[in-house]
Amino acid sequence: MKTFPEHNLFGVKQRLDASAGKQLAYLNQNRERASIRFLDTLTGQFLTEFTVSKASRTDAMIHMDLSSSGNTLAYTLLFGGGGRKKFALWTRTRINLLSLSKLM
Amino acid sequence: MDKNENQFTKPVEIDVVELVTHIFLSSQGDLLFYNASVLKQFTIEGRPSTRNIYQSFWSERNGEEWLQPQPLEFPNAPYTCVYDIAQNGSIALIKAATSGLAIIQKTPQGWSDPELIGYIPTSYDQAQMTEDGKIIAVTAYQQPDGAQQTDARGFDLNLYGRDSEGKWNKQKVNEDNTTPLSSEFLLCKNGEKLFWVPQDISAKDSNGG
Repeated sequence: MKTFPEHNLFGVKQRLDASAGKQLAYLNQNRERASIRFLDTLTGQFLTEFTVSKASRTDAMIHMDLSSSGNTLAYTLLFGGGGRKKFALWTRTRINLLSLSKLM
Repeated sequence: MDKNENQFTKPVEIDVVELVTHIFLSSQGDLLFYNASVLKQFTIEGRPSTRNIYQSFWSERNGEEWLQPQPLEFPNAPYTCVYDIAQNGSIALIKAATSGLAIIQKTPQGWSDPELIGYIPTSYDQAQMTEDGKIIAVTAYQQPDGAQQTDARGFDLNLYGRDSEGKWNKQKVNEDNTTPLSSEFLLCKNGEKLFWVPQDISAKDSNGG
């Protein structure tokens, strides 16, 4: 078992590129920013990071999926938590896609 | 757009909905499926009304663009839920309204009619499929015994596979009279391994084991 030491993990989800399992993508976020980090699972080496600044501290990345090819990444961003609509907390979710060339 | 060195492309916005519960990318990254809650307009007794509806959608890459997401809906299953995808997104495992788990296949003419597997999942159940679409693992929620003073949910784990005639057959993984399983499991995409967690072992205990 390999442990990747991290801190400030507000919510973590991770996805291996299933073809080889060499690349791990996971969510890393705090109140100000949310990011998806990529690690080399063999060495634990940090590869790169995609970062989104939060318009509100209640914004959050919720879901993520990395294609087995490692070329495309989908994520969702919950936003609008600061407003109220009737009696329910009003939020909406963006579904975004990133294209990326293979990191490894 | 492709990533240049460590610079990512600008995100492509696919949709904005009320709530997303699951997203699935095909193995080559050219098809996207998601389950979402969307506001729909209804007319009730002549009056317009809006209601949140859970629905599944899909989108496809077309060159550098992504096509407008479309709902996965069928004449007998207007509201569906995607559990997993296979064969680079050309097969989807869905819950087709009240008819239960079903397979749909992408054809040049559109999605095929749902082919029922033979199980109607509860809202607690999970299902996964191998990348070749030939093996499906499904939890089956066990109704709690009235004598049991517990809130813990127990599950059976069943595997479904096609026989020589193409029919889906069920094989139960956990033995009768043993501890029920938790809802967590993992069917490896190549179909070679299946992991599950007995209910009396928490997920925390099983991590890294």
